[in-house]
Amino acid sequence: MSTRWSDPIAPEDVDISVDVAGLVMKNPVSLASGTAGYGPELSHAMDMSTLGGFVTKGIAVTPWEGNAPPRIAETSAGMLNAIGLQNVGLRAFLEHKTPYLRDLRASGVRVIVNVIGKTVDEYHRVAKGLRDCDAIDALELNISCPNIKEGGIAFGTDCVAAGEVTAATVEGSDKPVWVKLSPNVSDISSMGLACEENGAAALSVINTLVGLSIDLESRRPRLSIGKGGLSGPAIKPVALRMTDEVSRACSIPVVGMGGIWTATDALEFMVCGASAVQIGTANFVNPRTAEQVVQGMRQWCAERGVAKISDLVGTLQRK
Amino acid sequence: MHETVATVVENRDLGSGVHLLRLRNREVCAEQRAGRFVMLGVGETVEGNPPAPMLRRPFSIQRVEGDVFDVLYRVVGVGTTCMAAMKRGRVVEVLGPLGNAFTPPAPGEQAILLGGGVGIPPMVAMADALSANNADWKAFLGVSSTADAGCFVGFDDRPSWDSRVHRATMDGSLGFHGHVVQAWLADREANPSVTKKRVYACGPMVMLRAVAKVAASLNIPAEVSVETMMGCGIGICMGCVIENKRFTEGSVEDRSTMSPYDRWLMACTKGPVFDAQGIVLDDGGLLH
Ligand SMILES: Cc1cc2nc3c(=O)[nH]c(=O)nc-3n(C[C@H](O)[C@H](O)[C@H](O)COP(=O)(O)OP(=O)(O)OC[C@H]3O[C@@H](n4cnc5c(N)ncnc54)[C@H](O)[C@@H]3O)c2cc1C
Ligand SMILES: Cc1cc2nc3c(=O)[nH]c(=O)nc-3n(C[C@H](O)[C@H](O)[C@H](O)COP(=O)(O)O)c2cc1C
Repeated sequence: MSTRWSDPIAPEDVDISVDVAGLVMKNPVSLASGTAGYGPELSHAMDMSTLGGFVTKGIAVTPWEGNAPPRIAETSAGMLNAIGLQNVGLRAFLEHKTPYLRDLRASGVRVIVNVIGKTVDEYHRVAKGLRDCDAIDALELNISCPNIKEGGIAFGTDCVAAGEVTAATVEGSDKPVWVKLSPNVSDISSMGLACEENGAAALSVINTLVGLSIDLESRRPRLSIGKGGLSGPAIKPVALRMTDEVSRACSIPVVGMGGIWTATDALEFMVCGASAVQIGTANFVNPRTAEQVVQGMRQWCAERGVAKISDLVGTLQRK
Repeated sequence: MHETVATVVENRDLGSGVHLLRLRNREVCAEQRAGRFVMLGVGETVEGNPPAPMLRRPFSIQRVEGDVFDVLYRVVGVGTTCMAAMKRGRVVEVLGPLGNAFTPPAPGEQAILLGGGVGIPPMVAMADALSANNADWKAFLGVSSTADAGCFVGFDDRPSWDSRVHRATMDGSLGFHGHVVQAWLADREANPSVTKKRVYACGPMVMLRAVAKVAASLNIPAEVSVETMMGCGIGICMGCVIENKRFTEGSVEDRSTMSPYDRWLMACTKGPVFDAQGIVLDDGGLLH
């Protein structure tokens, strides 16, 4: 695609579908893990069938409690969270959460289950437990979890551990496995490559950035556990840079996210190499964000004569 | 629940940083029930202050009149500072009404409404609902001193209720000298009655703890509305949790029906109204 646009076309003539490693999505926009519950929560506020995809809250092999409050703190153009991955666990997920997701999937929305664990084996067991589940299309591994066998260092900050957890999940699963990279590393591309070499189908970029917010008067952290994960508009430039780096270093598709608020934001990620995008924190502020972003992306393409949105992927002009 | 906008009808300064914001939106009014709340977009940055926050802020709906609903708020930080600058005619993003609601009293029961400071608004909503149903109620309302008397506005605007309304201040500058629970207990002593009671309360955690303790000792059912730090108001960020007492202190039987997931309850969707004996009344040290 050249740097010049063509004549406008009708919005309905723009093909906004995308293909993420063989998974065709009717548009590039999904809701990000941990920011949209298990689905029904948001269905009262938005038309879920307008989504390209939906990523569930992280699921572990057993239910997790999560952290004590306070769990969130607002910061400049963003927020910190330390929810602690409170989740219902695999069994309750299959029993109580899949009926809604099966219907959502039937309405043409791709359903991706985010997977968490404290050991490689726990990831593997979730993957096996989700085999044959017809309510879902793919798995997304959250490797920002602490690896308890390795002294609590996140899987996602060590190439070997990231590769291992990817291989084990791929081995256990009958679905494409996406790996969600942690930005809390010095070289995110090598993490992406380690996952690719071990069978990842796609890479989600990025999870939250570790940060700290304190109350000066009490000289205490605002969150109960101290540090938290930063998300929202504040992280967008970091996320764009990492999307660009990973998509150039790796040959599997990248799903971009981090501070997407508008159609322009989402399109920027695609230009920087993302085949699809996810929206997280913006859902908290305006639960209809995703719906509006999809519309805005179609409109933008129509006005510039972009007949196929996927033609924009990785077209960043360097110089 | 509606994701919509409302128009500012009035934003009245009641002194000491307390304001009454009146917003017009028919859909929100139609779904209000006492105890529910809205998430409000707080508007624009006020010069000399940090940038306007990104997240919406939760506020109880105090009263509905026609297609106007009232929110009573105190300026405590950056978001409420922005709100205080809102002018008549301004359009505000609203998500709501959200959350559960208070359980109405059983026939023959007397409702005891206990409200502290900016926890008074849900008690106004309850008093309105109970009065509309000719139910029996009494209210005990407390603020720290007469300077904060703006918090009473929802009751002040209904002079015909005065015989049922008991005002208290911590410093004794207005009404009963002491906190609301003391005011209620003093009234119980002065006017003993055999009517069955049900308590409804909203206010700071210390007050709610006292309410829960006293209600338990008197064997009176009590519901409290909690104000935890909320991100979304609709159960998707999982930020606003409060501890489930059935999980930590429940019977073996209770616990057998629960998983670790049930330890922390989201105040926005499971609440904000809870059985006072069902949760641990601790907000994890909210900084206020
Ligand atoms: C369901 C619900 C109903 C509420 N109803 C009312 C109401 O009717 N009137 C009213 O004045 N307030 C109410 N609150 C509290 C109100 O939401 C907060 O005061 C407000 O969000 C503060 O925003 P801010 O940006 O000004 O403060 P920030 O700048 O975010 O914080 C300033 C200070 O306020 C404290 N604070 C922030 N959020 C809360 C909170 N949720 N509860 C207690 N302290 C907080 C912080 O610890 C901090 O010290 C309610 C809260 C909930 C959850
Ligand atoms: C409250 C909250 C909870 C989250 N929970 C998860 C989670 O369970 N699993 C996960 O992989 N990412 C989780 N994330 C990260 C988001 O999915 C996303 O990667 C990140 O927030 C950046 O996107 P955003 O700026 O659009 O929010 C969470 C983010 C937030 C704000």
